[in-house]
Amino acid sequence: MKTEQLIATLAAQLQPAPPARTPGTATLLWTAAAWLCGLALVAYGLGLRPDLSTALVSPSVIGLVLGPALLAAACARACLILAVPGRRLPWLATGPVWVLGFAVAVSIASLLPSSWGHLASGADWHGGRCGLLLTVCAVLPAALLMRSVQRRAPVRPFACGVLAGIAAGAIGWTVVSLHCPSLNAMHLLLYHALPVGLPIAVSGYAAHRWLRW
Amino acid sequence: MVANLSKEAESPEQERDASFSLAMLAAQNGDSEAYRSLLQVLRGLAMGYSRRFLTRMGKFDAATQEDVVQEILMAVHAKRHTYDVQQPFLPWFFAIARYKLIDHGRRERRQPLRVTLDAVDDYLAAPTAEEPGTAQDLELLLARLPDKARRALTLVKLDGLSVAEAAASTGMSESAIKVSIHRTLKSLRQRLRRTEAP
Repeated sequence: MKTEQLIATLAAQLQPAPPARTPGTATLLWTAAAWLCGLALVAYGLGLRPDLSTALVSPSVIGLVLGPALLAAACARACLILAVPGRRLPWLATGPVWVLGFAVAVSIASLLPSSWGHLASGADWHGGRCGLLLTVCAVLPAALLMRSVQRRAPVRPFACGVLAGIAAGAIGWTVVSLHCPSLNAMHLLLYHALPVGLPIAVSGYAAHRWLRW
Repeated sequence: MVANLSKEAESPEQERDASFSLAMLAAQNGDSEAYRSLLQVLRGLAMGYSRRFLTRMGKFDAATQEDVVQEILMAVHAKRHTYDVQQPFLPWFFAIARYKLIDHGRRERRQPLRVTLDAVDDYLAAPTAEEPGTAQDLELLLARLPDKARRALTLVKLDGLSVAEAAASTGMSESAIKVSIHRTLKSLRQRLRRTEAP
């Protein structure tokens, strides 16, 4: 078929195509859906941490819940912006990702020296459960975000996948923070922060493999 | 509504971009004429862009260029809903064009044997007495196609019917027949590449 014919055919078959939701709106919808799933899971499945009402006045607990939640929203927005051809990530989209990531890393690192003994004593033998829960909690948010990206036209699928993985992992981290009462830095690093790497790796690979169009 | 139109155009480029935005907005609302005109202009842009890109890669030839330009136009068609009228049009279009060209280059590297769209017709040429296996190969290829695609391709490319006659015979529209044949040939070409690649 010659290009002229193709153009005639495409024009003849044209159907109205309402513009996709803006990245901002899509981020809001995704965040609401991910939070709903996470809260439902923690409320009806895992159970809220017993000291939640008192712990939520502590700045470190608020930070552990809100930090990853904001990181998730920032990454989801960056991911959805990147899924539109020709869009560049503005500083406002990438800034929160770096700032929050850095803040979380610094706060955990500052608590590390006092945590070695706790971990070495075997008090955290159940920590793997937190890692597993985080990974499970990240599955649905990751799938929702990847689906949303797939409907767009990502010209950098791998980067979109990595950002979707961070967003989904951070949602899992938030959910686990509402469930797990530990404030031990080593526990937080090993079982709340490091497991985020799994959704990142899986999403990045899946996006590289299947988000081509 | 169209942000880059609400501001006074500062240069001819911005004015041109704004006119593309308007045309795409009309296309998103289903205006075929505006869409046809826009595609004609985009075709020219895609030709120039792909020529430079393919030449730089040392892979330029007219058939490849036309093939890639068609892929770009089909991608624009399939992803037209992702264009946001608040944003400039040309970066959106060239990002798609670049993505399709890189994708094309990647396929070329993986499967160095290249069969152009026209060459697929040669693969589908009627078997001769000297080529006893060709008819079976052709049947095998056709057997894997969906019913509608097989009928459209067989009627037009093998039986020699016109598109209008094939449309009347199958009950499909002429446009549907053309698009079906185009897509089927493309998928056959990819299968042949996979089969023949070392």
